[in-house]
Amino acid sequence: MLDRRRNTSIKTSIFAHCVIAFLVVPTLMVIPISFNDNQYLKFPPTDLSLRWYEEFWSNPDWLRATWTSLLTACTVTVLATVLGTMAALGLSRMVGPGKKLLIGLIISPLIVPTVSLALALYFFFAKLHMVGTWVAVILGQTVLALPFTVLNVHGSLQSFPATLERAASTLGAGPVTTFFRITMPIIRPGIVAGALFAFLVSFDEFIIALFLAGPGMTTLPVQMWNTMQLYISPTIAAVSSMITGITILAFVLMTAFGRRSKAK
Amino acid sequence: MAKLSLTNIWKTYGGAQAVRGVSLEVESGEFVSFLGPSGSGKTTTLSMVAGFISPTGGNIRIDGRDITNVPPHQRNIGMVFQDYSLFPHMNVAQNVAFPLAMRSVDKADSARRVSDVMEIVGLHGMGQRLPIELSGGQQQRVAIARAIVYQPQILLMDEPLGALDRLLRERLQLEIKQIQKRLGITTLYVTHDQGEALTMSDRVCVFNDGEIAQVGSPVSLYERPESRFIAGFVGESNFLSATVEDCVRCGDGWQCLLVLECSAKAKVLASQPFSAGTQLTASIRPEHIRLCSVDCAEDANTVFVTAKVNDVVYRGETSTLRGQLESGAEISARATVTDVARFTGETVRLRWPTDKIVLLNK
Repeated sequence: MLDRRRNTSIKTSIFAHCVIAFLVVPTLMVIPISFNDNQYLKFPPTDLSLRWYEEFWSNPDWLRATWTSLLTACTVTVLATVLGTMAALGLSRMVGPGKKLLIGLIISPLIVPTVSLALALYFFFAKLHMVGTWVAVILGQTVLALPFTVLNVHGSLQSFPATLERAASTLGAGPVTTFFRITMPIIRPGIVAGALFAFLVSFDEFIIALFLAGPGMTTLPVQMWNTMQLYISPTIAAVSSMITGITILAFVLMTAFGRRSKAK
Repeated sequence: MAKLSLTNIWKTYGGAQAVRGVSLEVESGEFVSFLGPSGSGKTTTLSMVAGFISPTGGNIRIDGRDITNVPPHQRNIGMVFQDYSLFPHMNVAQNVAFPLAMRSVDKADSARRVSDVMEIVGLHGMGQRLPIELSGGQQQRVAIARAIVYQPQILLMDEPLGALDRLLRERLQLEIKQIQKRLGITTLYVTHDQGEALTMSDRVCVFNDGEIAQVGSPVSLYERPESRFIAGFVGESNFLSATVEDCVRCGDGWQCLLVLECSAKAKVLASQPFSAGTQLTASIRPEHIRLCSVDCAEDANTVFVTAKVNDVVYRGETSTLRGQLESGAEISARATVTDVARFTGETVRLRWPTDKIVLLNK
């Protein structure tokens, strides 16, 4: 009996590890490739070199694209976090069937294929003569990032006792003070998680940026795409490695933050 | 310290009437309890005084100032909740100082007042603890400290002891009462525990079905209930149907001769005359009904009945006999002797003084 259980657990464990490897290994493959001296994407690497990283940091096109991406992602993060938190606060106070409908509408960008959304946004902004503007990219990506902030903040509001806000109001705190002094400190983990997701959604986002961005507003994923159109350079591998690194770092920080606030 | 008046307060949700025409004057420094079954409108009324919900009709005044449409944070009230509602991300001292910070009290003054009030609630030196590190009783003391530190005009308490065990509850009842007396703060206290209401209050306001059923001192509620609901809700009562045979003038009131359903007769004082044949309800508390031995003396001021004892419930200092009269009416009596279990299944005589009968409309 005991043996069989041990066998099962070993088999399960092997299977689970295979699945994890399948998910992670292709992504991690680019890291050794990026340090390869060879000018073709080759695995395993023949000689170690940092030339593709140097190529990235010395090319003004790559640097400009990185800067554009960071600026866009930060703006989207702020917009999506503020709007998402306000929406979540409103939703948490709602009752009745309207609430489910509204949540469904807000998370619909997660369900609709991004290409369809990008196309719809393209025609919408075309009517407003805004295609090719930075504002259009920002708004488009905010639509995509909003579900993450709303769901995260709404989730942390589920365990937030409503009487705390009532208590604060009897003690003399108005609604705005109550939000900043009581509600926000308590739901901060949800807000931070939502903001991080929003940042990553925008930083990775390709289709909307491709459809709506004008010349001179090339974001990093679009720059990668453009480069690959011409020739496959290992610089792509270097960029991918750096983006992956930043993403992992962001999640590690978030986990550490979550643990700290839980311990508190 | 302030006077609170509620004038004809209504609250309706769609078609449902949660509170129906509640009017109440609470004197400065008075402790008034709202007692009632759940859904009777007591918490809804308290929430309207707090400002969490606005009344459909009527108005609320503190010292003559109309606050009906003033938001809660501008009302200068203090409130203690059943779930304590302490801010989990602030320590005890920060929690208690919060209302002072909202009133821009300077740091030194605030620290002094926090320390004073912590002394009052018996939590001196616990300022640096987080709420989760305290027991339920301590958390509720912090909540009380936080609600009184800024000397609000009115203190509202919504079943503050509901989540605590019985011994702690009784201790805190006395402490809250002492603090309230010492500070002379006008207090509204919601509870569904009648013992708590009777112990702590200057006046008890009993709610039923969205209305005030009766307001009065604990003694008047218990000894002079005005309706069957009050007689049954505040303490226990036996109800026997009674028919008026005759009423005669007697001093300030009237003396009526009644025939109770067990065919016993009783002369009872009433504040108004009833015409012969009027059907009333005679209400008697179980503790006024005594067992009597076979030869107990007849007396004009005592009602005697025979009852078959169905069962005896032992309750420590007293036992409750539950029996049935010949008419079929249930009756329960309190016995202070301990060996009454032997009467189970037997027929006994019960007696009670006629002046303990309260007459109620049918």
